Amino acid sequence: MSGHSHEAVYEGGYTRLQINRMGLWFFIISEAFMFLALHAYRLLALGTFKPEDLNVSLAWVMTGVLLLSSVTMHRAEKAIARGHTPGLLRNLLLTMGLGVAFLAIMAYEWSIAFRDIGFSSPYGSIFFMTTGTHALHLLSGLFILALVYLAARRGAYRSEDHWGVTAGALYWHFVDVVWLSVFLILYLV
Amino acid sequence: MLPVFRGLVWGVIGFLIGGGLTALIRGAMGLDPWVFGPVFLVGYLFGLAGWLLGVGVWDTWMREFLGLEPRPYEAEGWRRYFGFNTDHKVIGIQYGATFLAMFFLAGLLALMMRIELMQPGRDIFNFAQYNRVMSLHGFLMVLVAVTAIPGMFGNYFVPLMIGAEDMAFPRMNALSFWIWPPAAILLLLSPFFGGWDTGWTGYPPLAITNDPGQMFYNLAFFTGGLSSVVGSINFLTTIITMRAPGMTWGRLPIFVWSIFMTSIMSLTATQFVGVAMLMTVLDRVANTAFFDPARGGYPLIYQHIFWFYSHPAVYVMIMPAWGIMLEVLAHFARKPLFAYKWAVAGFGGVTALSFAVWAHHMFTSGMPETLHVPFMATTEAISVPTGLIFLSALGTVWRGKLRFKTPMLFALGGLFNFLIGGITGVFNSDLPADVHLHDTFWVVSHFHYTIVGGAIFGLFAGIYYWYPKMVGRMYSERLGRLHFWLMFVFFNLVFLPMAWLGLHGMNRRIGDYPPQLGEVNAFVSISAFVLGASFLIFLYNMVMAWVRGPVAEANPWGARTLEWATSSPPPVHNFPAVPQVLSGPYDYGVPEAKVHAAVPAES
Repeated sequence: MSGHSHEAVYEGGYTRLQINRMGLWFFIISEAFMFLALHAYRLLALGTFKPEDLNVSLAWVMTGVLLLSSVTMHRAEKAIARGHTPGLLRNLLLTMGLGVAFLAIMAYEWSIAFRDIGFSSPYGSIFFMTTGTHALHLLSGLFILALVYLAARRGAYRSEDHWGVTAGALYWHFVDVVWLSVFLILYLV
Repeated sequence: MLPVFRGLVWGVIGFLIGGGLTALIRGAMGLDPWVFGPVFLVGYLFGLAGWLLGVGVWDTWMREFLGLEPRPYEAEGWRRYFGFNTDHKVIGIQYGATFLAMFFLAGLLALMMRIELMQPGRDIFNFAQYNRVMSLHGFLMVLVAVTAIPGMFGNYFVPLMIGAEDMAFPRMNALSFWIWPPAAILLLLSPFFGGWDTGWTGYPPLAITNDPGQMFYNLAFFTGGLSSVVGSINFLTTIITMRAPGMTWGRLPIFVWSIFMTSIMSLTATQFVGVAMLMTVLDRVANTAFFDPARGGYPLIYQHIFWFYSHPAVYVMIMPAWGIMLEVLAHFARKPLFAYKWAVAGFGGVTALSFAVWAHHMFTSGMPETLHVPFMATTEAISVPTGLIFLSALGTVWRGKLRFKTPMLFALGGLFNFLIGGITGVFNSDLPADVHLHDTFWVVSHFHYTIVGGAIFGLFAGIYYWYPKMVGRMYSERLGRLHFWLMFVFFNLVFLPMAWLGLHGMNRRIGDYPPQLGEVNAFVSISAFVLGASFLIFLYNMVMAWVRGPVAEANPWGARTLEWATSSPPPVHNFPAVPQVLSGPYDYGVPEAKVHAAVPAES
């Protein structure tokens, strides 16, 4: 970070790891407000209206896929916390695979929804904007996990120093929680 | 190659790729490939990414993430300011130069408006042109008011005041600055694409149906919002985690508190205006129906989403200025800050309530009547924590040994102006009154008194206060006072009559008015030109002092806060060793008070 050789001491005794985690949490809080704004539009403009042909069962499948991906991501983090890089790599791949599967199912759902609902109504507009914004966040999560995977392959992580994995996992779980809110507000409510 | 040039090249390449791809995909889908909206939107987003990569993101983060050797930006002299420099002091100056330039540009636009309004009837603009000039003036000024103090002084002085070496995330700090040039370019180019005429508030349906220039505003606002969020993460984390040993929350300088509270608002509420901008853009280019009444959309919800950010935004504008004013008042009255804990509580109360008042901007919008009284109540209530801050200021000055240097003049003037602005605000908060005042020049008077009279005067207090520390030279006190008095007197001569004009039927956002108001308007216009001229004195002072002013010592004001315990300007790492904080920053005249902090020699 700087050229100084001494380890900085702060009031409150924060470590670099704690500082990084805090920064990421603030980012997550901020992004949560973005989705709050989208959900606010949905509820204010449309209340709990849902079109007839909304495919809720497909959304259940997508929810299951993402929840499973959080399990594998958690396993990945646990693996490197034990210093077990092969476990980290395997579970990262599984997580990314499930993330891609989610996007594939979503692409299929979008193709149907585009035909049946379309952009041209307020519900359609907020449906595509909300799921699209979530998908972009998931895509960026995949990008981050890919970088983490490449770094892990290079042996960058150890049991006592694996911030990249922790950060990737935290962001990935956030994306999952956001999906749960999207599922709730767009499909179930 | 200077990073700025590489960023420009990669940005242009990104723009061409994004636009080209869009045209290609549209053509493949059977649509007209070269429609401005979608092509420009995607082009801009790719261009922004290209710019950021080129100006430093590639060399700093991407290379590291891909296992290559990162290339941090190393330069000397003036070159430090044209690249991805992670030193918070360099970044502070970068923000300062950029936003002062924006301020003067927006000021020129205001003078153009005042030329039109000098006489009734059409002079140099038709209504459409006037509204475009007005919109750009307003939006540029909003950006300056929101960003100048946190960007310039928050960045430069928060780490110094808490005894830290830099911010928690120095690379992200550089990023938050370099996000701005694309937004600035959008705004400078917007007149060539028809500009936009909705005012800085960008309401649909007009914002959906008007000229392409509207999108420049939407994208610039979204871009600036990204910077705000990144900056807030940095400020909050830095202030929480990187205070020097002994710098407890109870010893934190009030300016740092003000940046902390401001960052809570800008971290969260900014996302709402981002969504409002995106929804507008989607309605324009993707045929969505968020705000189209013909297809069941709800224009009013734009206002809710927009103002949920834009009301806290005005507290983002004023709170750092109050922070500076309270600092200056304490140090130049040579007294402890009066009721420090209540002042902090005041900042906290304003922050909390700021999220609960937004619909007072919508009293005449046709929103449900059930919202009227609650928002009137919360809006009136927010004057209570504001009052705590005011009383802290007054109590600090009371019986103080006042030194009327230029920073102190601006702090006192700012308090005076904000008082007037705040009082006019009470009338706006009162629904029966607001029904008549809304969209008149009364409102224009109110927000110029608070934002210019309060926040910009606070900005200038900070500029004069911290100039010797940043530049290492002292400005001319004589010219500083001349600038202050001209600015203060003529600011009031411009904006006080506007309250009268509003009460007598002058509407805002239209380039004309009832002819009998011509004389007062002429007076306002002439005063505005003198106000503008006062800034020439300021600029002359700043430049001459930089070039051949007397060398400034480490602590020309004899103030206790930590930025004065190091050289002017500070060395790269701020302090030779970690300061040990021993007491509060305002213990002037307190018997047996310890020094605020001990800065050990080289460790």
